[in-house]
Amino acid sequence: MINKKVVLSILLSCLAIVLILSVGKGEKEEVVIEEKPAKKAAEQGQEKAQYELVPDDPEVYGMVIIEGGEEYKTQKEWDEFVEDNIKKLKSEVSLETWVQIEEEIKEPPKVTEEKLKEIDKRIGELKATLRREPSNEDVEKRIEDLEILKALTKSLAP
Amino acid sequence: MIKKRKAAALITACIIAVFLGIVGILFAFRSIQERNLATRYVDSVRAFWLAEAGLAKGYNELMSSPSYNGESWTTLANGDYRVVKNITADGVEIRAEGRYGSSTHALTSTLAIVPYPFENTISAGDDIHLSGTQAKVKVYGKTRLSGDYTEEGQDGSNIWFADKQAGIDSSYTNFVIPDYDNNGTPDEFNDFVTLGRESIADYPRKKTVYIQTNGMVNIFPTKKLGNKKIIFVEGDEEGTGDVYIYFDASWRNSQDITIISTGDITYVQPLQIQKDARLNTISWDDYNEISTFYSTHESVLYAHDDIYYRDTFGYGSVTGNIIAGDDIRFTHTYNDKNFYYSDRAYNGDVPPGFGRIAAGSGVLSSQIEDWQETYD
Repeated sequence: MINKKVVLSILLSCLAIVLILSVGKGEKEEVVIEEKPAKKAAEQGQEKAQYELVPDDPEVYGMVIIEGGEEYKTQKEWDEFVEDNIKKLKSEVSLETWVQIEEEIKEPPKVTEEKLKEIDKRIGELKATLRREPSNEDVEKRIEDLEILKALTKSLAP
Repeated sequence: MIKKRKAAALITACIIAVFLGIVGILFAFRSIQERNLATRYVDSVRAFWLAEAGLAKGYNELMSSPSYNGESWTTLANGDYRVVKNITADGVEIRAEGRYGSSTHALTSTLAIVPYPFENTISAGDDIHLSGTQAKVKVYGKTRLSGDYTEEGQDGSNIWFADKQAGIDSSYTNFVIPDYDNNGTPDEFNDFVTLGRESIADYPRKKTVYIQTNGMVNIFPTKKLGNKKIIFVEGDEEGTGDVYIYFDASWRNSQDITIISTGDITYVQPLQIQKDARLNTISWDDYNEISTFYSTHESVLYAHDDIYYRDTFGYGSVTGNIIAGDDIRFTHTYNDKNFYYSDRAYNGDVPPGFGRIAAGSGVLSSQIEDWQETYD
C-alpha cells in the first residue's frame, strides 16, 4: 500500500515537473538586436506624408493675390495697398517689435526726401522707355517695383 | 497473492515506461525547439552582420564613386546581401539587406550631400555683372562663377571680393534639379513642380502652405506662418505664380522657412529682426531684391534663372548662400551692400526643400547622419 502511494506521488511529481517545464516555453522567441533610432526622423520629414494635396486659402495667411489679368496698379493704388497692409501688420505684431523695426529703419527725413525724388526720377525714365518699348515686361516690372518702394517709403517714413 | 503483486508490478512498470517515454519525447521535442530557436537566432545575427557588411560596402563604394547605384543580391559567407541607393530629402539613403537562412535584416543610413554652392557666399552658373550707380558691394567668403565678371558701374561703383574665381565648371556653381518625372531629362519645369510638391509632402501638412495661382502673391509677416516650413506657390506654367515677400514671413525666433515659386520671387525690404532665423527662396524664374531702408536678412537663395539686386536705396547685408542658375546682376543705386557667408547649410543644417534640389550634385558628406534597422 505504501509502495503504491510512493509510486503515485513520484508519478504526480514528475508530471508536475514536465508540465512546469513545458508551459510557456513553446512560444517563438524574438531575436532582439539593439536598434538605434533615426535622428529626428519625423521632424526632418523622413516619414512621407500621405494625403491629397489640396490648395490652401491664401487669405487665411493674410496673403493678397493680384491676379495676372488685372491692370497694373497706379501709384495711388499701391500707396493704399501698402498702407492697408502695414496697418494690419502693426495690429499683428507687438508694440515692442514694431518699435524695434522703426528703430532699424530710422533715418533723417532729408534722406527719405532725396530717396523719393530719386525714385520718381527713375520711374519717369522707365516710363519714357516703356513708351518707346510698350511690350517690355522687364521695364513694366521695374516700374511696379519702384512704385511699391515709393509707397513703402511714404508709409514707413519717420 | 504473489500473482496479484506481479500484476501490480507489471502495471507500475508499464506506467513508468510510458511516463518515461512521454518525458523522453517531450525533452526531444523541446530540444528540437531549442535548436530551431538557436538556428533562427544565429541566422538572424548572421543576416544582421550581412546587412552591416552591405552598409559598409555601400558607404565605401559611395565614398569612392558618387555614381555608385547599389548592387543586387550578392553571396557572402553562405548568405546574401544587397544594397539599394535612394535619393531622399536629406541626401542619399543607403539601404542594405542581409539574408541568411530564413532571416532577413535591413539597415538604412543617410549620407548628406553637401552641394558645392554651399561652400560659397555667392555662386553664379554664368556671369556676375555690376552696372549700378554709387554701388559699393563687399562679398566676404568665396565667390564662384562659371562665366565672367564684368563691371560697368558709375560714380565709383565697385564690388570687392574676398575670394573670387571665374570660369569654373557649373557643377561647382549651380544646382541641377533631379529628374523627378523620370523622363530621362533633369532640370525641367515639370521636375521643378514635382520638387515643390514633394517638398510639401516631406512635412506634415500643417507645416506647409500650398497656393495654386497664376497671379502675384503678396506675403506679409504673420504669426500664422510662424511654424511653417514650406510655402509653395504653383502656377500653371513657367513664369506664373510670382511672389512678393515684404519684410519677413513671421518675425519669429528660429524661423526656417522656404518659399518656392514657379515664377519670380521679389523680396521687398528684407528685414529679419529675430534670432537664428532664415527665410529661403527657390524660384524657377528670377529672384529680385529691392529695398528702400536699411535691410538685413539670413537666407539661402536659389533662382533657376537670374538674381537681381536692384533699386536698393539703403545699406543692406545678406548672410547665407546666394545661388543663381544663370547671372547675378547688381544694379544698385545709392547703396552699400555686404554679403557674408553662412556655413549652416554646409554643416548639414539644410533649409527646407533644399535637400531635394541639392541631391543632384555636390560633395557627399563622409559623416553618416543616422542609421536604423528597418522593418517592412
